[in-house]
Amino acid sequence: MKKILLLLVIAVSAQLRADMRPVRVEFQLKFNNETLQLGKKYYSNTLKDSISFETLKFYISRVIVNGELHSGAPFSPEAFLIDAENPKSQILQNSFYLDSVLGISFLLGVDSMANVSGAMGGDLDPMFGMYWAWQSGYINFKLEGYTNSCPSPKHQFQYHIGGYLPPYASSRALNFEVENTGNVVVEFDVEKLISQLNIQEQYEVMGPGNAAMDISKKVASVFKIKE
Amino acid sequence: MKIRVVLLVFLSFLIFSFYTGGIGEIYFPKHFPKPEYSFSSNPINSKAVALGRMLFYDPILSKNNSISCASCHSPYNSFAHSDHALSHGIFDSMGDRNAPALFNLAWQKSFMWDGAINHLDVQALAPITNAKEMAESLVGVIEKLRKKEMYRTAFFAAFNDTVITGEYVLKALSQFQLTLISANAKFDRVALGKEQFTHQEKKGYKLFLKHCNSCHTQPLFSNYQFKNNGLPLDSVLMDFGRGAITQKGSDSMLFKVPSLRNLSFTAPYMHDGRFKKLGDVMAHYNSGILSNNMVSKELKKPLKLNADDRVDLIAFLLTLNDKEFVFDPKHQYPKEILSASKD
Ligand code: HEC
Ligand code: HEC
Repeated sequence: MKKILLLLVIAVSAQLRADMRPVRVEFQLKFNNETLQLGKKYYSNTLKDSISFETLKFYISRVIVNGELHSGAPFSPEAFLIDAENPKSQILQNSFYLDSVLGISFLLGVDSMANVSGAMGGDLDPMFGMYWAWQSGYINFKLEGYTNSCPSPKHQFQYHIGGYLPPYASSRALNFEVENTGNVVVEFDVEKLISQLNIQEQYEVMGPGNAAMDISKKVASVFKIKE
Repeated sequence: MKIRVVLLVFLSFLIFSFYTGGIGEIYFPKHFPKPEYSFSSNPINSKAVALGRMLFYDPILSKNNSISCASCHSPYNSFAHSDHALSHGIFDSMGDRNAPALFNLAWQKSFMWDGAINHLDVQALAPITNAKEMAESLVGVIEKLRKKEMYRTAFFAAFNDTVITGEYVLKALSQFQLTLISANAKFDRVALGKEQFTHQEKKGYKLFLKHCNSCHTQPLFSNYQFKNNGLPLDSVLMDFGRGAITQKGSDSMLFKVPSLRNLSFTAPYMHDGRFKKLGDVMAHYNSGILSNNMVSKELKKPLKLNADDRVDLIAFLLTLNDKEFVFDPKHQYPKEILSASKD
């Protein structure tokens, strides 16, 4: 009897092992379905003009991947800085194992706690230029570049989107169902954001407020799961 | 047996002295409230304090290595900017505000005259990157520090890590600044029953409790809230204080209530240094307060202080001078910096 029980336990755990794998989430940054390259000149169909990007960086935090049998604990560390300049930053690995993946949730930006906790390390180190100096708070999302459509002196646009205090708390919670059982791939196509912005008139947003709130919603709408 | 009892007594004594004494290099004065600073995320250690002190006095933090924190926050002025109404930074540029004195920072909830900064650790980012102050970047500072043997050693000693990061630079600066505790003025000795006020100081104290304590609350001499004390707007500076941060009309023209400790060392006064002397401040509170609905309710009614009252009140304010703090050699220019400038 005991032997049978032991066998059963082994069989079940072997079964679990076979189906489980470490969870990996990848962020793919794109322009018009092409992998985004900083400095490269693109043609924007919505602007009917060329455009190039100097910076695309954003925080993703409280990443949770849900499986069929159980949901995963939040990824550690708590926040990841995704940077177009650094391909390694676009891949999030976790140490625990899951069965098939059913969904993912994360925060675009850092939560309010991180904004009031002083100097932090890792990806949250203020040396990465994602922290405002003149007024405390993280920049959740940063997009900078050039297009002639932009009437500013060097045709430069700068969106530094952040703010953690209500009514201007700009981090956005996102939630997706995932159909496949492979790695989770989240796409972010910058052209889909450009098409929602009014770059001819609003090309510099550098602090918390209504403009940042509006743009943060638009940024959040661009994320999608790759089929 | 006896030894055990003695040991026990000794041990509990040790624990008790720690309790009222504070943690590491910091002591918490008995008559002070609980500090606001989250020491658990930046535990005080003497190596980090020493490092923070080096950084505070080292012009390496500015773009052209000319300006240190102490350029605007001098120890002999209770870490305010002596004789400068508006602070003076890199390339002789003029700032927009008066550099406040620095002490008892562990008890503050927010920083700057308008509370733009929510934590002491991230305060230093403002002067380091401000084009009119130090005009550097945190990354620029780190690159310069990493090249110096002295700093590599000091950072390792403080944080037990071989890389110098932004987090460590900021935490070290906080550690030094957290040790700037001013709690040994005559007022404090009176509060602890060690000394007595003169007759005149006592009269001044009464007036203070009646007219000033609601905002400049003892024993820190600030409630660290944002208030309007009836100063007219400077039409050149156009500084709306807290309102510019919260974008709320009701916060317009509010400024953080400053502590009144060490006033003899921190002139000129107010966010723009508009008053040179305490007598000018007194004249303002007595007859200069604007009458409009922006002025905080505590100051809506005229104070009606006569000449004697004003002298008495100043006599009390002078009991808040803490010479021991202002001349404490532990807070002054560290010798290490001199030797460092050679390599
Ligand atoms: C060019 C002059 C200048 C330099 C250099 C400078 N400060 Fe200041 N400091 C100021 C001024 C002015 C303010 C008030 C700013 C405001 O209210 O907007 C201030 C405010 C502060 C405060 C807030 C105090 C309070 O009560 O709210 C702290 C802390 C501080 N400085 C620390 C530092 C440190 C640390 C450094 C070096 C990294 C530094 N300062 C460099 C001028 C300077
Ligand atoms: C309504 C709250 C309030 C009351 C009551 C009040 N003050 Fe103030 N006090 C302030 C504020 C706010 C400031 C800073 C104003 C600014 O710079 O714009 C200030 C600044 C000062 C300063 C300048 C300190 C510095 O470092 O620049 C002195 C001195 C002072 N007050 C003394 C007094 C005295 C004495 C009384 C009582 C007669 C008093 N205050 C009552 C709010 C108050």
